[in-house]
Amino acid sequence: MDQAFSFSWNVRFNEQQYVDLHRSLSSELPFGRRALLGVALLFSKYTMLIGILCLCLTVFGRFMSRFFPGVSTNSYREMPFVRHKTTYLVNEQGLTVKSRGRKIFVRWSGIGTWQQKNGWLSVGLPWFPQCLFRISDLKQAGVYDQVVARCRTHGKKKRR
Amino acid sequence: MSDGRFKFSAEINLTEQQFVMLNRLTSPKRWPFYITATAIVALLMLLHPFTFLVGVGLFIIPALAIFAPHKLLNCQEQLYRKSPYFRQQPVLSVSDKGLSFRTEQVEAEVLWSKPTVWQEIHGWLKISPAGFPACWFPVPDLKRAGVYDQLMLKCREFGVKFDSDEANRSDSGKQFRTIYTTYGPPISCHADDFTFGETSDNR
Repeated sequence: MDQAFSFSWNVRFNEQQYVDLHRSLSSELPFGRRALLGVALLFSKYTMLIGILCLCLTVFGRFMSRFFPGVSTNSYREMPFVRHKTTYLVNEQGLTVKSRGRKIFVRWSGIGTWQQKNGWLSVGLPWFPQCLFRISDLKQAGVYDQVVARCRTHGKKKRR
Repeated sequence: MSDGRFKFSAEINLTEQQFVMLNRLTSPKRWPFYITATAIVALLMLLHPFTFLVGVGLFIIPALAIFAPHKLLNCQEQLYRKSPYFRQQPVLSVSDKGLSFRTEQVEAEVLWSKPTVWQEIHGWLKISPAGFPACWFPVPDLKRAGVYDQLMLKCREFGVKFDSDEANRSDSGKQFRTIYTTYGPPISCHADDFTFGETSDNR
């Protein structure tokens, strides 16, 4: 565990990549399943109102997401740092997110939840943006086992 | 100091109660109104079988707000308890270049950039740069250190006052959209000049 290692990568997401990535890491029900749930709730008069609300939120969330604060489309447009080149760095001391005008370093003991999903490892840094790594890149660099071991020791695995 | 350079650091000790009071976006005066209005709508919905379930769901919100506010999702009580940082008495710094936030576990810094929101409340100056935790500074200490006026110049240059006519808003999402619309694309005043304070690139 004490062995030194270091891995970093740079990325500049465009809006579509950013939204797709955050959607794929999200634990929300996908659009199709949410719509099906809404339709299913329409069949009973007691749950019809909930079904209508569910469908409205699903449709609005999908096609008019700019009205919902905090969704990834809005984050991309509103947050200055997301559109700049970002460097994600992991080493035996902790994780670093660096972009134009902002630098965040969090020691391993300060990480939050982490998850592996759709080929990505995301590590939450409470109050800060999550740290993102492609699992294949980590494996190729030979640091995957060390990173995941530290995530298991210090973080909380995100429930699906 | 005369050439516009300044720096101020303070170890901030915010209790949960202070944190909640200072961070609440809606004015505490309006809070009872929202709770009462939600409870009335929920009660009315309970009277009809078709809206009964929604009423039950809606009733949970004011009940939690009154009896167990820390259980509400993303409420300030929960944010304080979940965040390891404020219990560690962070050292917050502000200078002519930007802001920094330091605890045992975190070293973070951000250069002055748009959009930033600032607010003076109950003797504290709150500065919230986008994508960075809100930084709190005691106004009397800033004045005593002789940096208050210079800091306010920076706040006005890069930010807008919370809830001002300039950026009238009720939630953080709307707040950032308003600012972005008003000021155009975000700009960093020092471009790629990253570091100030103790955080170094060669870590």
